[in-house]
Amino acid sequence: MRRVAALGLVALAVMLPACANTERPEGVVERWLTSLNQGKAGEPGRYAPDDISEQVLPNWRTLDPGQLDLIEVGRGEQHDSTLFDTPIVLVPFRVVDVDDVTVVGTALVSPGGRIADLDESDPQLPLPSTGGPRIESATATLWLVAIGVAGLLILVSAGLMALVQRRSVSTS
Amino acid sequence: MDGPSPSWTLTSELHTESYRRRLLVLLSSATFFEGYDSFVLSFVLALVLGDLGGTEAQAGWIRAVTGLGAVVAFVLSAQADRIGRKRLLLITITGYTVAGALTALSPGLLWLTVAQFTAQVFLGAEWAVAITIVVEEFPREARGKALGIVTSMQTLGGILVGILAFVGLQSTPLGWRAFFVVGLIPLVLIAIGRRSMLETERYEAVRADPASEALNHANLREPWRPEYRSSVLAVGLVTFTRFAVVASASFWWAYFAQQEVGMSVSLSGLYLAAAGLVGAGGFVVAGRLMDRFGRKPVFIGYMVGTLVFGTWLFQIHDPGLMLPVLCIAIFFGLGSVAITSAFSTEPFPTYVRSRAAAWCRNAFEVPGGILGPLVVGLLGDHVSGPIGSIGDAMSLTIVALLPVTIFVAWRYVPETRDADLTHLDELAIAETGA
Repeated sequence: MRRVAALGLVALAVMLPACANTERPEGVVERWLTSLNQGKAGEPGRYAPDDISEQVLPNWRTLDPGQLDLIEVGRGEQHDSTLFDTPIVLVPFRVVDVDDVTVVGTALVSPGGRIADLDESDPQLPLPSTGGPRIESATATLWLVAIGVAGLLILVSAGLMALVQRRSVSTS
Repeated sequence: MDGPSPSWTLTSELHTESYRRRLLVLLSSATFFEGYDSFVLSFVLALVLGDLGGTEAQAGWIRAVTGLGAVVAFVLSAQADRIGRKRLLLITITGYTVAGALTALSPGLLWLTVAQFTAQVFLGAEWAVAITIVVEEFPREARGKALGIVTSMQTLGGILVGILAFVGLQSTPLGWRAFFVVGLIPLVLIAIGRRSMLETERYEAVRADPASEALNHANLREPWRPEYRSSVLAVGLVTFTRFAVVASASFWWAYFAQQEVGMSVSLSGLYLAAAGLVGAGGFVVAGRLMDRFGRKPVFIGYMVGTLVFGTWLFQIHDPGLMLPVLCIAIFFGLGSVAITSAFSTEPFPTYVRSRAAAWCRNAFEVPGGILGPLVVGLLGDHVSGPIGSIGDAMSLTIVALLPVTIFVAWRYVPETRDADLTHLDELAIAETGA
């Protein structure tokens, strides 16, 4: 039992660093668009002022959910801003509605994690569908960690099974 | 054969081939609608929120609360060893049909949540009792095939929801409620089942034998007796890790395709329906193969297929390549449930089989299905997740969990292709000394 508990602690120690939090502006833009796509049930105001939401999906407050058939967000880039002390992040996005109307643009995400403005599409910020980078990609280290977790879980399973089988023998 | 003198007969073959065919149709229909009802809420949730009013956060709570119903189902499904398989099957079909009707009548989110929680309790119990009936009623050489057919129906039931949405059921005057009205069809099954369905021969024979009085037919912890606990834990670990992966992949694929690959909702829906239909063949093929080559080698082959194609699937960013890989991943990933159904029933004697299946399904598999998607969501959250990509989080989860599934299945799960269930029952009674 002690061996199993020790293995559990090691597993926890390996996994805890993976839970470090980040705040990605690309995710904020994506949540805003997803919330906008909920139409009257959505709360895009949590991420952007109403006038900005109206630019992407006019009259969204009266629409049923599912007006956007496609939402795509690309990797953002930091830029200096005259409006804020710290740099803002420019995030490219594309939406296609159910009538096949496409809106492509760049969201300006403020340091507080809110969308401050929209701009035209920037060729320097390509979307994944046009050859741009994905928001995040797992590093080789993460793949090795996953293989290590698999090995650890195999050891824990073997330990558990040995424990149960030993108890079965001793009680029968 | 060792064991007591067979003064009682557990091997009688009173139930004819034609009865088994009719039984297969009935169980397949019940499982088909179980699949339909299990999938329908997540499909119409956005429409429900729009109609009844609700936020994404509330939607998350509804999903969590209703998901717990499948865990609570453990207590109900374990009753099949006490009150009989037939009676519990009919109770569960009635239960999930009535709960579906109550859902259709929902005036608000609270009512809907309670109705769907109740539906999940009955749906969760139906699965365990249906596979127990298959294992007990079909001869050794046909059990795998029958399990393959019955389990495949769950996926086809889920696909029906997509087809009904495609033809515009949500645009009828009933809106999203129409999906739950369709769920009333199983009431017909209850009428048919009450008249023509029989209790399983094996259950009847065990209960009719005076010696079985010494066996404990009611204690929920009976499967953890020293004779069975190793099999329960091994099968439990296999079903937990397998379903954590399969449920996560099923839950997150559409999101991944739409948000990270840039596929439209309609295209991803079309892919899912097409791949689901092709992938459903995985159940039937698994059923036939496991009758021929044994449960363990076929399961390990299926899991290796899931490991390779599942990991690859969530690394693909080309919609053209996505469809064939999705088909193969579903074939192996979902199809393997036909084999885990055999794992969770065949190693156990009749008097405790349903409770063992309930432990494996409701206490291990279902929690795996809740935990897996949650972990992938936390790791891959685009705002705050440490990995920041659902596709990568999913692939890494597959790499971390499926080797455990393969290892435990290979090392600890008993092979039951040639298992003689009658002999298991004889041994169980012999051990009581009665």
